Amino acid sequence: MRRRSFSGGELFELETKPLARTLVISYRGWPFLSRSIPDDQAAVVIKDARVVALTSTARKLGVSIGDRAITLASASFDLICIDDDFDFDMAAFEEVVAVAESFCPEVEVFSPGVCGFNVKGPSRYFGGEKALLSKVIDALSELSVSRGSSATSIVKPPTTAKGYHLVSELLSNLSFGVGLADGPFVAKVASTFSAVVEAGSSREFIAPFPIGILIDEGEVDTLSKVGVNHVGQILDIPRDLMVERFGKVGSRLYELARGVDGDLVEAREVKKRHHVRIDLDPPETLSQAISFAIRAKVDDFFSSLTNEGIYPLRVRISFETETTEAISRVWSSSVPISPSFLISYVRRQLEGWQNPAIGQDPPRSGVIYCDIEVMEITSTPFVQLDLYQVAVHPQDRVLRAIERARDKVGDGAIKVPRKRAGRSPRDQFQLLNWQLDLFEEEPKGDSAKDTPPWPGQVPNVKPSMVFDPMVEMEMTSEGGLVVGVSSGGELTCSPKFFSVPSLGWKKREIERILGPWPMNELWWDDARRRRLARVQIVSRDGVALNAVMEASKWHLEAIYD
Amino acid sequence: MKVTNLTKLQGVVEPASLLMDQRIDVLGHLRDLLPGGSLKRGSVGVVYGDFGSGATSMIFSLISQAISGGSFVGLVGLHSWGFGAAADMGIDLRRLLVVECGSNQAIEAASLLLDGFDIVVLSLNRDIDYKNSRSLANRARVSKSILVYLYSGTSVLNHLPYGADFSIWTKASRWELLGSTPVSNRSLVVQADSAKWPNVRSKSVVGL
Repeated sequence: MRRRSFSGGELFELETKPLARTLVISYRGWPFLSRSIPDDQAAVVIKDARVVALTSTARKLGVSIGDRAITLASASFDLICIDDDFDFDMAAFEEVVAVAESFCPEVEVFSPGVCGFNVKGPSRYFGGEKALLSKVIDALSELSVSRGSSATSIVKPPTTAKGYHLVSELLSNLSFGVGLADGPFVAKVASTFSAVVEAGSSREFIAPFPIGILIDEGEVDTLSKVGVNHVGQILDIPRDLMVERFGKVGSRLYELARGVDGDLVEAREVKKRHHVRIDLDPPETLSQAISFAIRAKVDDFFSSLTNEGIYPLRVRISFETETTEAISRVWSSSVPISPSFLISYVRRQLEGWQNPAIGQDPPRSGVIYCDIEVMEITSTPFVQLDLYQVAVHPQDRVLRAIERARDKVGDGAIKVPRKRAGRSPRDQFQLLNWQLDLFEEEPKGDSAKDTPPWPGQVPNVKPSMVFDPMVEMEMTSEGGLVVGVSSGGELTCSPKFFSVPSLGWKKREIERILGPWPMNELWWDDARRRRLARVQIVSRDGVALNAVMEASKWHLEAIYD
Repeated sequence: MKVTNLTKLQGVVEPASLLMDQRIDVLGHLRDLLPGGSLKRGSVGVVYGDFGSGATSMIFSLISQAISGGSFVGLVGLHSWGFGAAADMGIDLRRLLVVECGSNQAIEAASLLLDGFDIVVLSLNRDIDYKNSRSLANRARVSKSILVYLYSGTSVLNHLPYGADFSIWTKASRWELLGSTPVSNRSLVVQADSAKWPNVRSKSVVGL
């Protein structure tokens, strides 16, 4: 998680430090709103072949988040499936951000559907928090996207939550919520109920919430196994214990549970200012041309960050034109931001600026520079990267090496191993062609444990060399007779020697042979059925291997190399 | 020099890179087989032995600690990898990239992969000539990655003519046979050599 480490003294200081009052606007079910799909229509958003968002009508059909796309077909005839499209959602959200920007010049976009800003300045200008809030609500209600929709999905905070009041003006026929609280995190939580949390009451407010609001499922499980179900319970655990048991996640949880969040803490920890200023000469107006022009510099910047072990979570992007008009916006993400995401932020921001809502002026001249500043970082990408995540995370070095090797050897030669089920060592793993979106179906967790046993599979130690296709071999008895397997599954004579010509093995003596284990695979399928018998051989000189008899021929299947 | 001045000196003598960045750790029972007790970044090595003598298992156990430390490993060439054994040794298969190609392309692919992967295992069924051996060694040194050449068989004697920082020869394996249970345990006789050592080391490794 975030890069920070502090002693108890610092923590105390951190608790007493007030966080900036933040207003968060959040739209429930943004992907559906942006596509004008009403809540009474069953619809789901699919990402990586799994459901990531759904309407309440879809929920009533028994669909839930995390379901596989494949299983949805049986749910309902008129279920609409939408592909997750970050760019589209962001583009549609632009009109909301534009409204927010009319109140505060620097708006932070958390995700499509959720944005917010620091109200310190705006509340003074618009005559207090209350006045500001009702002005924001009024302005947002003008948007067509804000009207209608989900009266049913309004939820209430836990009854024991204290230190807040609900925004009364917000009628149930609006599709968004606003939250005002200390720091963006609590404000985000408050926005789902349209609540104003009083200054300094963050802890009382979030204590009765289930811990699911802080973290995702995997850790919720672990925590509930040790009896922690509510945010407040985390506060009862000494911080040291949290850190000892859960590491950085623990320390982050502890802070969140206290309602401590935001850049005040970070400002001290980010010792160096990480930023890059990219000049555009001549000035450029087209957003696509700008994002193309800065791409290389952004890549360099990110690889230099990666080399320092820094992964940005929050960046500020600013532009300035020849006529000194400027726009700056903060983008944040819960996973480290990659160069390609940053470029997409840049494009969104520019397009929103250059095609403003009615009544506002677009910039009058071309952009002369772009400034990218990292505001919040994490020192370790939350999960350990694997080859499929390097596409999302800034591990360009690895990707580049793969791409270059692919240019050399051709598309089909670059592969990755993947587990699948089966009896023989050849079936248990397969090699798939390398591509970036390969593992969309990869289940979470250790799939090895979930695989049910396969009767007849080769037991115990797995061989470290597996021949696919198998290699022909011969097996003979002491008198030179070819060894066969009878229909009863017995060896026809006692084997003494084997040889594998293609490996250069001439007549090796067998010390022990186990088996045969007969197998009748796919007996229900006439075209693909096969009968085989498998033996395990250990030679006198210490080589162990698996051999398979199929169609009256011996094949070498695997060596325990 | 007074003690107070030492703090100023600190900046001068600070290492340019940390020791842990220069080396990749290996499993405890393999430390005796490598110069310095770990895989040195920028080095080349060779692991060889006849089929069945344990060379592939040796490769898997060499890379398993690196992989759990976050390294990516490329396996290049036409070797018949048994990924079940790899997974059993604790290797996260999602960090393995396999490049299946013939000898000529394999050498080039390996040298390209060295740029991005911490360890590249190159497996050929023939000798590497002096020129390729040198270019691979240079590439490994420049990219601070490790090239391990895996040779299964006994016919080739001079594996990396330009020189290898370490070499491991799996000489023989002996399986523990218990009645009619399938094979499970074995001990390997391994001979390791390094240019830094006065003579070769022999060791018996159990449990590979």
